[in-house]
Order: sequence, then C-alpha cells, then structure tokens
Amino acid sequence: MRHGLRFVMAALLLLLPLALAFAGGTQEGAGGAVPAKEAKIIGYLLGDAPTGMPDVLQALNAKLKKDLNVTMEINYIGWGDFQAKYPLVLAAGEDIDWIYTANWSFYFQEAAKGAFLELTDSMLKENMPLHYKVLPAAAWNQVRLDSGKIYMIPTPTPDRKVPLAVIRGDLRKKYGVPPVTRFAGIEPYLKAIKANEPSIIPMNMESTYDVGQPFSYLSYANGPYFQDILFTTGSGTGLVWLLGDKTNKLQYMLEEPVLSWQKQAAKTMKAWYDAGYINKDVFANKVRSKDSFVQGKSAVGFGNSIDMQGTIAGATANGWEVELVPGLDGNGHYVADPYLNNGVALAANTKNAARTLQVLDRIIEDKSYNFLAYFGVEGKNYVLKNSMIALPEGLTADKNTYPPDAAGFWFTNKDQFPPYATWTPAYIQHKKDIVAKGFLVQTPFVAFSATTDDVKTEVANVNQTMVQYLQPLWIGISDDVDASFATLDQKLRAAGVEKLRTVFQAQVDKFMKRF
Amino acid sequence: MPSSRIAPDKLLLTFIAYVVLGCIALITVFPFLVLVINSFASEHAIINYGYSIVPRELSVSAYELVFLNPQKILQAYGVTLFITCFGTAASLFLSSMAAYCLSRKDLRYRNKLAFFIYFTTLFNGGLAPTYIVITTVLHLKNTLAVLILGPMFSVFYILILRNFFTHSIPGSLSEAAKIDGAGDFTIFLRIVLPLTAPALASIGLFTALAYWNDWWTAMLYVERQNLMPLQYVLYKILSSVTMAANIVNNVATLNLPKESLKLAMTVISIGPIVLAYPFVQRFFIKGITLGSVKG
Amino acid sequence: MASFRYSLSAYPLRKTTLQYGLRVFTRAASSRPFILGMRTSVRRISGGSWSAMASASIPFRAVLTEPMCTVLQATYFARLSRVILSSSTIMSVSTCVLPGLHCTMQKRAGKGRVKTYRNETVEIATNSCSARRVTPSILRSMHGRGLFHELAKNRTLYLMFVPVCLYFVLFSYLPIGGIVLAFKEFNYRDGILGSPWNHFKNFEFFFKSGKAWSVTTNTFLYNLMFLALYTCFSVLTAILISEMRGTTFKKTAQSFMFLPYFISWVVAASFLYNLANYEYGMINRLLVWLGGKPINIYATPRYWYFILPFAYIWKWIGFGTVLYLAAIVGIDQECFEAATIDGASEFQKIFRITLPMLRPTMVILVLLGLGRILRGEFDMFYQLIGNNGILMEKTDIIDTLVFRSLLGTQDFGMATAAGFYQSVLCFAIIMIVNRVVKAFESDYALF
Repeated sequence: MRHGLRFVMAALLLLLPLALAFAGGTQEGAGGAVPAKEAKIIGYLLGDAPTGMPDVLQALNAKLKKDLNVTMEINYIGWGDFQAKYPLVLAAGEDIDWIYTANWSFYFQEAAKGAFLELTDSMLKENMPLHYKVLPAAAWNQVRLDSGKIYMIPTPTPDRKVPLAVIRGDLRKKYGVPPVTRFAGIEPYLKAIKANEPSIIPMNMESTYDVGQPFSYLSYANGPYFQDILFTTGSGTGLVWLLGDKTNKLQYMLEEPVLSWQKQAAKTMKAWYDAGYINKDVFANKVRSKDSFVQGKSAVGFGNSIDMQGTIAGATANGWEVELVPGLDGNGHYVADPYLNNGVALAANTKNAARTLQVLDRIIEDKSYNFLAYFGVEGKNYVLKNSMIALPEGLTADKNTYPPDAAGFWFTNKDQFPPYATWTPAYIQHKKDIVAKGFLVQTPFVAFSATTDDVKTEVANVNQTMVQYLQPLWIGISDDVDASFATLDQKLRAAGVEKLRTVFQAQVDKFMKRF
Repeated sequence: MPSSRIAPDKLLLTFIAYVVLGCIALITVFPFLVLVINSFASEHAIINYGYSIVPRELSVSAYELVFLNPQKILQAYGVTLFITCFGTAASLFLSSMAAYCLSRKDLRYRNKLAFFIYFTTLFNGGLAPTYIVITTVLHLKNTLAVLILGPMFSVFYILILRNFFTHSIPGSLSEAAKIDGAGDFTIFLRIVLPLTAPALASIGLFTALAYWNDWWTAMLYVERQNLMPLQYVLYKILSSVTMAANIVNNVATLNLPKESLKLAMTVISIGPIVLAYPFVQRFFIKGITLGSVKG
Repeated sequence: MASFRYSLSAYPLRKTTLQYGLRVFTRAASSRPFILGMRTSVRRISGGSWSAMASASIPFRAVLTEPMCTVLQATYFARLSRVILSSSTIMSVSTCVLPGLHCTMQKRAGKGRVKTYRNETVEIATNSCSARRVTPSILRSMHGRGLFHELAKNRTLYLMFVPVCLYFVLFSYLPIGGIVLAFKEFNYRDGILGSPWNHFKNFEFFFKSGKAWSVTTNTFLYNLMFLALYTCFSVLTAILISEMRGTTFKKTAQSFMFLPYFISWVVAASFLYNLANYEYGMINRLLVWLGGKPINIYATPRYWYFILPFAYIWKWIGFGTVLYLAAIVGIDQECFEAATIDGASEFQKIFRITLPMLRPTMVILVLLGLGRILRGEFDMFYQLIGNNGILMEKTDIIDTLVFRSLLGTQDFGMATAAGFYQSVLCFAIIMIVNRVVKAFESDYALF
C-alpha cells in the first residue's frame, strides 16, 4: 500500500505542469500601437506557398514598411492538413494575427469557440476606411452572429459562379445529337458516346466532388434549387431550404415535394448506371471528371464557372470543341454566393489589431497592393496587355512562379481586375450570361449557420447515415429506388432528423428576422 | 566429412522455401515495379489506360515538377538525412539502455516502469492537447528538435528490445562481469550491446524508416521552408497540385501530372533507403551463415 | 507428524539462461508454524555450476552465498506444485501447495563466512539467503526495503532509464490531461481546464448511431484476423529464410518483402483501383480476355474479407519477418547441432527447437498487438474503402465511423470521447491478457 501511495503522489507531481499548460485561454488583444513603432504581423492562408512567394512578400513588405512600419510573415495551411490543422493553429493561439476564413472554412464554428477577435464598428471605420466604404450593409449583416457581433471581414466581391458541366461539342456533332441546353436532356449524348466510343466512359466520376453532381443537377431540374442546411460545413442532414421560398420553411428531403424530385433523379441515375453510362467504381476513383475530360477519358466534366476555366482552355487546346451546360434549376436560377465565401478574421490573441486591420485594408482595396498580392510582380509574373492580364513574353503558364489565385488572397476586391487573356470566347460569354441573364438569386439562407452544440449527437449520426445510405443512390447503385429511399427515411428518423428539424427551424426563424 | 548428398527432408524444405518465398517476393515486388514504371508514364496514359506494365506514353513531367526547384528538394534531403541519422542513433542508444534496465531482474520496479511507459500507448490526450503542449509549453514549434524528438521513442520497440535482452543474454555473463567490478553501464555498453546486434539492427532499421517517412510531425509543427523534411515537401507538392487545380483559375494547372506525381514521389522517397537496407541486412544473415557451417 | 521432502536439484533448467536449482531435503516436523531450516553444504561441481544440498529440521536458517544466489534459481519441487524462486531479487514469495507453508528465499545484507553447524545454520560467504516460513509480520519486514533503498542500490540502472522516462513524461503524460476533453464542451476562451463539463454527452453520438456494436466487433475481428495472419506469415517466412541456403535469393526476397512499407496507402489504393476497377482494371481485362464477364469488386462486400487481410499482410510482412529473423539469429546454434547429431530431421528441428525458441518473441508481439486490438488501421480502411456505402456494413471500423460522423463538426470533445472509448476497451483487454500470461510464464508478460 505504501508503494501505491508513493506512485500516486509521484503521478500527481507530474500532472502539476498540466495546470500551467492548460490554465486557459486568451488574452486581450492590445489596441493599435503608435505607427512609429515597428510591428510584425503573422498571417495564415490556405493552400501552399507558390514558388515566387518570397519575392512577392519582399515587395509587399517594402511597401508596408514605408506606409505602415509593418513587416508581414505569411504561413500556409495546406489543403491536405486543412481539417486537422486549421482548428489547431487557432487553439494554440500563438504567433498569429490574421487568418483566412469563410463560411465553408469554419468561420462560424471557430467564432463560437472564441478563436477570433471581435470587430467593432469603430475599429472598422477607423482602421479600414476603404473597405468599409465599399462593402454594402448586407455584407456586414451576413457576417454578424446571433449575438450581434462581427468576427470576420468579408470579401467585397463574392464569387459569381454556377455549377457547370462541359461536354464534347465535336463528338456531339459527329454523332448527330441535338444541342444540350439543360443537363436533364443529356441522355442522347451519353447514349451516342457509349455506342460509338468504346474507350471513352460517358461520365467518369470521382468519389468526393463528382459523386453528387449529376444527381444534384437532375433533382432541381424541375423545381427550385434547394440546398442542405449544413451544406457549407460539408455535412448532410436531409433538411433543405428552397431557393425563393419566402416562408423560410425547412423541407425534409424525404417528404414531398422534394422526395419526388429526388426519386425521379435517382431513377434516372439508376438507369444510366445500369446502362453503363457511369463508371461502376465511383467511390474508389480519385481522378476528377474534369481532369478525365481533358485527357479524353470522360465525355462529361463537372465543375463550376470558376474552376472550369482551365479545363475549357485545355480541352480547346486539344482541338476539341467544348460546350457548356450550366446546372441551373427549373427556373433558370442558382443561388448567389454570400459575402462570406471568402474573408479574413483576426485571431483573438493578436497584439496588433489596429495595424493588422490597416494592412488588410490596403491589400483588399488598394490597387497597387491588390495586384501585387494577387498576380505577383508586374513584369515578372504578369503584364497588362490590351488591358488584360497576360503572361510576360517568353513565360509559359506552367513556369509562372506566382500563378493568380495560387497565393490564397481570394478575399481581395476582384472587381478591380481586368479579364484574363487566356479566357476563351465561350467562357467570356458564360460569365456575361451569369450577370445578364440573371442566373444568380440572392437568398439570406446562404449566410445562415446553424448552431449545433445542443444537437451535435444527432448531427453526427445523421451525417454518417447520409453518407452510407444516400451516396449510393447518388450514383444509381440500388436494386429498388423506392425501397432504398424508404430505408434512408427510416434510418434518418432513427438518427434524430426530426429533432434537428425543430431545432434548426427555430434558429432559421430567429435568423430571418434580421432580414 | 558428410557426403554431398542432401537429406530428403532438407531438399523438401528448400523446395518449399523457394516456392513460398518466391511467391511472396513476387507479390510484394510486382506493385512496386508497376509503380516505378508508371511514374515514367504520361498523365494521359495513366488516366486513359490505367497502370500498365508497358506504358504507352512516357514522360518525365512528374519528376520535372518535383525537381522544379532542386534546391528545395536537396535541402529537404539534407534535413531528412540529418534527422534520420542523428535521431536513429540517439533513439537506438537510449531505447536499448531503457530496455536493458527493464530486462534486469534485480530491478524491483521494472514491471511498474514498463507499465508506466506502456500506459502511454493505451491512453493519450489527443491531437489538440499534444499540439498545445508542444507549441506553447515546450516552445518546440519550427525547431529541428521537434523533428527529432517527435518520432524518437516507441514503446513497442523498447518492449521488443527488452524481450530480446531478457532471452538472449546469459545471466552468468553479467554476473561474471559484476564480480569483476563492472558497473551497470559498462556491462550494458561492453557486453549487452555487442551481443544483441541483430535485435538492435532490426529496431534501428524500423526507427530509421520511421524518421525517414515522417511527414506528420512536420505538417503540424514546421512552417519554415528550410526545416521541412523530404516527405513533407513531396506531400505538399502533391497536395498543392491536387487541390490547387480545383480552385485555381488558370491554365497552368491543366497539364500538371497528378497521378504520375504520386508515383514519382514514392520512387524518390525510397531511393536512399534501398541503398541503406543491404547494409543492415548482413546482421540478419551473418548469424545464419555461421550456424549453417556444418562438419 | 507430516513429513515430506522437497528437493531442489542442481541442473540446468534452460541452457541459454543458465538457471540452476537447489536440491533441498527437508522434513516438516509438525504442523505448527515453524521456520524451515536447511543445512546447506556448498560445493562447486565441474563446469562452474554450483549445487547445494541442504537438509531441514526445525528451526533452521539456511543461507547461500551471494554468487550462488544470483546464479541460482532455487526451485522447490513439491508433489503438487512447482515453485520458482528468483534469486536475484531481494525477495520473492512463492507458495507451496501444502497448506500454510510458504517458502521464501531472502537475501540479507551483511558479511558472513563459511560455517557449518551440525544441524542447522550455515552461513556462507558474503550475503545470505534464508528460507523461512512466512508469517504476515515476516512478509512486511521482508518487503519493507523501501523505495529509496532500492533507488540508491540500483541508481545507475534507474539513471539509465531517465531519458526515456523524461521523454514520455513530457510528450505523453503532460498532454494526457487532455482526456478530460471527452467530458467537456471545449471552447478556446476557457481553455481545457475551464471549459464546462458536459458529462457523457460527447459519447452519445457513437452509442446512438446504431452501429456501435457492429463497428466494435468489426474492428476487433479484423484486427484479430490481421494479427493472427501476420504472425503466422511472418514466422513462416522468417523460418524459411533462415533455413535457406542461397544467399542471393534470400537477400533479394527479404528486400522485396520490405518494399510495400514504402508505398503509402494512398498510392496502394490507386494501384488497387487500377487492378480492380470494372471498366479497365487489370483483373477484369484478364477475365474478359479469357472469355468471362467482368466482376464488380467494389460493390461486393464478400471479396473484401479476402482483400483486406491480403493488403495488410502485403504491407507489413517485411517488418514481421525482420523481427522474427532477428530472434532466430539469436538462437544458440549448438542446439541445432546437437539435434542434428541426435538424428532430428529438418522439420523436427523447426517444430521442436525453432518454434519454441521463438515463443517469447511471438508472445510479446501478440501481446503488443492485442493492446491495440481496438484501434483500427484507419489509413488502410479509409483509402481502400473510403465512402463506399455498399461496403460499409461489413467493413466499417470504429475509426472510420468516427471520422465520418465528425467530418463537419470540428468537435474536439467528441473525437476525444471516441478515442477514450477505444482506450478503455484496449486497457481492459490487455490487463486481462497480461494477467493470464503472467500466471503461466511471468517472463513473457508485458509488465
């Protein structure tokens, strides 16, 4: 017994340092220092540092030193580590002043945990005059949490994108298939490809992005666009809102009217799967359809207006004609991205809040800073030719050490940018159509983020059920579609989806009062 | 001298050995060969035809991409070599020292000590507390020390070494040394270590491989470019190519090899180890050749 | 008056460790508490081994020399039980079957010299060992050598252990307090210590998922299967390699077996996809060429009962072979030579010498594997199976279920809770198994 006691005491002694380590949280960020004192600011962006980053950072720091007496250091959180590292960096709270954030990048979750510094109106007005002027009130409204506090600086230019599928126009014409205006009408094209091109898989899909795309396109082809309430976090709940629905009611996916849209989409997918228009092992394929498309293995590629640009250019370079099929709903609409889809937040522990805000203001809104951060060094990474962004003489795209978008400064004011020289006419037309034909419809739902603390059990179980039982339906693997949906319904109810519905509807109603 | 005729059971055993080992060796080397060959295949060939024994189109674009910035790769090689050599030596020495202590029967608390370190494999605090301890309490972020200390000790290897020490060191040997006045440390150094060379070689090999392949520690704790080990650099190249293609707005990412890049990375990271392995192998073969000398 | 004989004989118990026994003849005079005494005469027999003969009567005290104590293991043979005493510890308690009789060998510090008495007490050389019946008070006094005395005596050894100890304290025990997160609602403002308790809420998602039992059994069974197959194959290949003669073949085979270690599961999954996919995988192309129909491997769960163990063995066989080979190399070759002289065939040598000699290594590796029996091989399952809902019923393990459930939530508490669940089960299993192994052969136990 004596020995036992001694060991317990020794163990307790060892645990003492724990108290020091974990004695809790955050300190107050000091306010702005006198500009005469030099400050060092550390920022975090997503992705990986482009090879040309050191030069750009040097140029950036030269300007910052002159204007604000600040030196900036930028670290990256790679995509592969993103899920694990993003919360860790904030949890440790050390050596960080600002970090990229977005509604899909854990803004709401981290703000709720207290990771970000509160941005008051006076702080913003005083330190970010340019940005404050440009941003509409709706943007600030979207960023505000239920508590009324703001923790993020939203982008002034949300992405304008719609889901986009591309098909081989040259093959379509070759086999006499009529033009495809809507995705729901793509079947003749798939049939022709299957019959005549044995080495091409009509839709060669991959397991993370593509797996839900065609199903999605089909399911809102006959009605309004709808989206899962937890879509931005990557979870699925089965509770959806409808675009343009003024009642703000959350629909359950397995009740009318959504159920029949889904069933019809699933039946079509099953028919396509059985006919061999879809590759059988979608869950094991890791190559995106748009990459397959460019390499000539797939006849359809899925993406959105922004990331398809490279695919379109590449396929055109292969000598093929690329036709665009936007994934719009039955009314020709798609939801507009919120101001939250790119942004930046200050870490709660930052000691240079005011200065950081001033730096960010310049990067976002000041043209000289903006072009530098986004495109690189003029003359080295880009030139302005005919008021378009082009590569300097002799530099090819793959040798560019600082490609646009690669650096991760996606929250800057993109309206200041001219078009790119590499955009194909079809693509430019598409971008025009988005605005001209009014594809995008605003809805406050995109800025809503559900608080899941009380229902996290149900959220976890519902998500896991959706992955196991719904995803096979997405690609048409099912013996009996109706029975599979019935099973899904039963499992979801067992996982607690009804409770989620009540809780989330209450939150939605409260949220909508703001608008 | 025994006759040159081999006993039938020995013949049978040798036959079985050749067949079984041959099968296993083929099954394990076949994927590797396919991967090496296809790392020289073009992205187009891999996506269209899958992995093939004879690729239809060859290209070194994957290797070009990795070595686009050769200085970065060479620096990463240097970092990895350093932490592997230094880390393995330190780890092996200290682990075997601890294992020796645990194997000594006259140590009253050896089982309790063994349980003390084994407990850490059963319960651990999780990623967040470990991260907080290492960055805020120990201030090891962005240091070379964290790369060396991270994978340094493994309880499994210590216990396996203990097992080897217990069962292959004659107690009388250390007793004889003790009578001669040797201290525990000298016994360890002069008697125990030389006797257990095969065990040390195997554990040393595993530790070296753990250091060589470790990218997780770097991913969590290292942000400075000049401290990144090889695996992490390769991993970052791959993930930037894979993910950047989804969001990046430009044509450059179009022809970037992704599938063949994964294979090229495997080939590049194996290189030096394949050269080091035969060196270690002789420890396992030596004892056998000694024993097989008959007559 | 009960009388019985104990005999400890001087003989080599196991050649490699040179353990010897003591032959002691005793006679118990009566059933009242007594102290067994032994008269010992010590003489040195050829080859450097010692033997001692002692006769017992009441009361007595038998002592042995220190060199004898550390070289000898005294073994009492009773009619119904075997008692093993370890001589090099300060003391060990062992029980005889006959009621009330405990025999102990106790080392006593102090100088002694050779003395022979007519009947009982013999003190020889420096330290002394005595065997006496143990009453509770004697037990206490025999145990009570003290922590600090032990630390002082073996201070070099304890110092040698310090670096490893310090490492684990810093890197494993300091963060271990984070386990409380499993019972808390974590937020950064309050830190780990200050966050509010939410008791068992973090565990709910796992147990309410309806899959808790199935994933636990899946994890357990898969790991058990992997462990069993891994051990069998590693031992098989190690033995075959050690028996082979052609060094080049041996070396190349061994090197090849090591290669899969370097292939990450991501790449291995790509390779498997290229092998097994429906449209242009190698297997299906072969089947079609032979005139059959292609099979959809990724949609048929029963193939995966074979594919998963195969993949596991493929990846790790190099490791296991190296470990067992190192153990085989350590076996004294004289045993084999003696066996050959005795006319044993190769297979007999393998089954009678090599395998038993490998037993300690096998036991420890199996024990270490059992200690991780509920931690699934996440990388393998996630890369090979991923989000494939069709296969999930049969191939879901705890780690993948938790990963999928927590994908969007970022909740540290729930993740820690799942890990805690696995830890508790592993802890229970290893404690039980270790205790069982200890009862049979205390050398083989983990701790």
